[in-house]
Amino acid sequence: MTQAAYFVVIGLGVGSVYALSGLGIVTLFAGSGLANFAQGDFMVLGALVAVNVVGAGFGYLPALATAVVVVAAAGLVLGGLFTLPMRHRRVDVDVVIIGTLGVATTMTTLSGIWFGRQPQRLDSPLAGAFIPIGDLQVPAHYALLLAGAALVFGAVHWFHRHTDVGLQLRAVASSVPAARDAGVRVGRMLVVAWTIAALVGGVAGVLVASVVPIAPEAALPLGVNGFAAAIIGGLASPAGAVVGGLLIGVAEALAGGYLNDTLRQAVAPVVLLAVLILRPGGLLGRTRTVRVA
Amino acid sequence: MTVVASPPRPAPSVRTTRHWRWTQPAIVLLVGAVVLLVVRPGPFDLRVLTLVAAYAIAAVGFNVLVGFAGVVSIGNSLFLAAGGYAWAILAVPRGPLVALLAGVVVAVVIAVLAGLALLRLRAYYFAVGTLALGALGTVVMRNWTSVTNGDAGITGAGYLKLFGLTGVSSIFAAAVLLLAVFLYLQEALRTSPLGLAMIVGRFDPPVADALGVNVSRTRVAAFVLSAVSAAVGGALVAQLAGGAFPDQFSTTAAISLLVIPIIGGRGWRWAPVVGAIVVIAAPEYLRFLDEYRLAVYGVLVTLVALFLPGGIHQLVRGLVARVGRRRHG
Amino acid sequence: MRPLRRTGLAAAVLTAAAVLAACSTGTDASTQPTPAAAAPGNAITIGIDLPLSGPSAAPAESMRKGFELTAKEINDAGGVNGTPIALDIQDDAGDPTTGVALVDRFVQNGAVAIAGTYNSPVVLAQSDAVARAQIPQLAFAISSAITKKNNPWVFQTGPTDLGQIDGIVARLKSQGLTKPALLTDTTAFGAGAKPVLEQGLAAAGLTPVLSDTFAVDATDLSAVLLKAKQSGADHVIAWTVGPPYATLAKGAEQVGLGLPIVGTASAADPAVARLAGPAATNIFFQDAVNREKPQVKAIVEKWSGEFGGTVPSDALSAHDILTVIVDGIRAVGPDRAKLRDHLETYRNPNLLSGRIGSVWEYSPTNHVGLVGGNLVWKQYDNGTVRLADGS
Repeated sequence: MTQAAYFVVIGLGVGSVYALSGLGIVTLFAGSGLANFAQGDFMVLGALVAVNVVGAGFGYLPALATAVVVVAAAGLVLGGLFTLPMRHRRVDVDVVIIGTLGVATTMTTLSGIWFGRQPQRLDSPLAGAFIPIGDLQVPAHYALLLAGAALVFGAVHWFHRHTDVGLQLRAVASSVPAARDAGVRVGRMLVVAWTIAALVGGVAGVLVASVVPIAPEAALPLGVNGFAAAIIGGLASPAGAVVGGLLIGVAEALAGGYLNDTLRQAVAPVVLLAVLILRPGGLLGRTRTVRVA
Repeated sequence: MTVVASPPRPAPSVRTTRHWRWTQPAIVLLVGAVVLLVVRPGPFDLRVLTLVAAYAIAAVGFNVLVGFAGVVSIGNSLFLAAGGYAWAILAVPRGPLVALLAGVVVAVVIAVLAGLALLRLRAYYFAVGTLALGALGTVVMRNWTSVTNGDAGITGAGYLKLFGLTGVSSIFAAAVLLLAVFLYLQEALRTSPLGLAMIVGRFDPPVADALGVNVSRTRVAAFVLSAVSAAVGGALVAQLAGGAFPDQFSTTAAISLLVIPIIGGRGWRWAPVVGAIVVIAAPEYLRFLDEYRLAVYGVLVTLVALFLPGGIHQLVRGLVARVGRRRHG
Repeated sequence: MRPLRRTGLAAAVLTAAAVLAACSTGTDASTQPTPAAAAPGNAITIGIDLPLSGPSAAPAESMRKGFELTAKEINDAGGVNGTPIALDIQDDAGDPTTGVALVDRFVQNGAVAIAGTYNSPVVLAQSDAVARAQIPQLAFAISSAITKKNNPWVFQTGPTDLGQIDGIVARLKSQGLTKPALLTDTTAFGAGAKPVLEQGLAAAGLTPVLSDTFAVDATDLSAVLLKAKQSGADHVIAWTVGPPYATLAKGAEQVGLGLPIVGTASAADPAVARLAGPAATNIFFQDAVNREKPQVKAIVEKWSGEFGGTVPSDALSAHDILTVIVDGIRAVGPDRAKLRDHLETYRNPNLLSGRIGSVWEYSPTNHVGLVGGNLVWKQYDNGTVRLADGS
């Protein structure tokens, strides 16, 4: 029983990593209708900036602040870039995918040149603290991640639901022409959506770096796991991303604990495929099926 | 609000012009023969050219999938792997024909099952679903050691011996020949009822319905075709590497396959070849950029995606139009 | 809508099928080797093949730096008999197809020898191409599957997995440990070593009480260590590359493992201490480099600024590899075949790798430079590395 509880808690911690990554993807999608395959790179950029700020002798919070500013700036630039063509025409799914994949390749390579390719870790102030479960110990970092995921979720949810800009963003995501007719300045909103997604990625990256070794090459797996979480949840729903991420995390931890680590690796794709086959719109998404592309 | 990519423009030029179906295969065969007999490139250049041809073959099916049917998959590395592993396991004991066909059959079975299960999904959902499928494939390749020998891979795969050639020259000849066949099939498909049904289903579903086209069935058909051509391409990749390894058929390979037809121009008949030249050969010859190589490549891909969504085809058509205008004006 | 022109289609498919049916599977390797090497007066090119992008990018980057610094030193000291050397450093991304293509690239560009690469599957895939092109290759991948190929053109730096296992068995005996829990990673590194390890342990009369695998990119490995703890083992043998040792160390702390973890030479990666902090404790490994050696100390002092602290063993290995190649070229000139022949007589007691007094030595029957038993046992103790007790 102790063991089961331990695995569930570990799974929630690891799942928070996926949830945080997924939240960034959902934030952009819900605000622009774009899926960003470079979200993992936002996280890595944030983490590596923070590692260097801490390395220069500053504290955790200044590092977090710097990371968020740098990543948000990167999001602003990319937002501008991706908004230019969207002003004039619909952007196809395949074009968005390879466009953001190109960004991912570029960012991974540049991060490697600027920050080196050695994996880095960033201790939060909770380093060395543990939560005992029986004779097993859960690092307090995991609790921090869970709290972080909840906080980011709350912020994104509040922003989308209770601010004017959030409302406009959701209008853009559901239909660009309709939003434009209603007086929304679509281009500006798209840039805002990118910046906020990057901001979420920056915070997520700094938090995650206390548990996951961060190297530029970690961006792709982080992004892919985030996509799994986001898609399971329904892609446009922040709550879905959190649920999806935690679901994969716990399933993985249980599979690793009671079966073996090989099967653990298959958990994320299998859960994702199962959800897509049984509920094509994701757990918290609309189940209506629409034609592809 | 129309898309600038090649097929959507209702301009009659693209759809109704029928190219003589043998033009493309003939050009490919001719260029292949010239390269092999006259140019005689060095071993590295020949290898890169062969890899370009192998990926072009794999991309023909992908061009049909993305360009005709409008479906985006990030999991086609799985079909490359099916072809590659079937070749590595069967070519030496059972001969090349069995090995090629076995890879194709495995790929088709997977594609039919996955297509039926996933193709009703919306765009990003299907893309990420196939991404998961590819990831699952990698886990299987790594861990089903009795068949795949795990991460150490299968070596000593042998190659297709043609016209008494040896080594890479022979693989190159085989790749060019197969590429010619696949390009012929692509052109034949475009003008066939099935091909037209795909294109109508992509751009005007209501009309497709009215015409009695079963859109989901044409999508599955396109997905299966993409699996067939990827399996053949994968067999050639395995020959070039002398074996099959999980690292060959990773997500990176699936992404390359996706980028090829888009860079070339979705649906354009030359897109697989032109795209493969850019995606496979360009990074090899960008090696002088050293560590910035992949950064430059990434920027190029992004810029094409954003500002040239019709790919190189768009450039070509622009140039042709400008020349034509000058001539008439 | 015009129907598919069936005759044309059938003709095309039939032609292709006929051609394919008439052909066979070739397995020979009969391409002509390109007569090699630099024209006199030009720089001597050495091909360096590294997985600079992809999952092995971190150690590859250390090696790259090591190669570049070494080359600079050699050229500053007058090069090889007055001719400078030039490194052709290329990225194979850990992909075998690219790795094989790079062999041809190096040959085409007139490289005298190839140093690389890091991943065993890539080296195995390159084997035929290297033999065909007749270019000597110094591979630092450690799989004994490479050794077993007996390719006359391929040399390993060593020690291979086999050599390391000998050292591990010897240590277990001396420490009176009898019940191993065997954990291997699912990359080629661990999967390739697993059968070799099981054989080696069986030969020494040791039966693992647990044999399990783990993924190197797992965030948390405490589950597999919990299994090891409950298996009744008295030590854990963990076979993986670099950073995952940090994940294992943290997992061990979480489950209160309390057993020694015996690892590979790549546990020496400075990333382990950086990632695990004080949790990195009770991990034992054989380091390829003894940092007490005077020549190692000298280099480390010179290079530590370049690496911002600890100089990784990978960079020092790179120094050795380039030294071996350049020594060979110095002796017989930039000729691939002569260099290969010379390497089979190569013997050097002064390289950085290996314990004090060990000798890097090749012979016609042995293409592994540093055989087992030449390494130094070290251990992590609260996040720092020190010589292991009883070594």
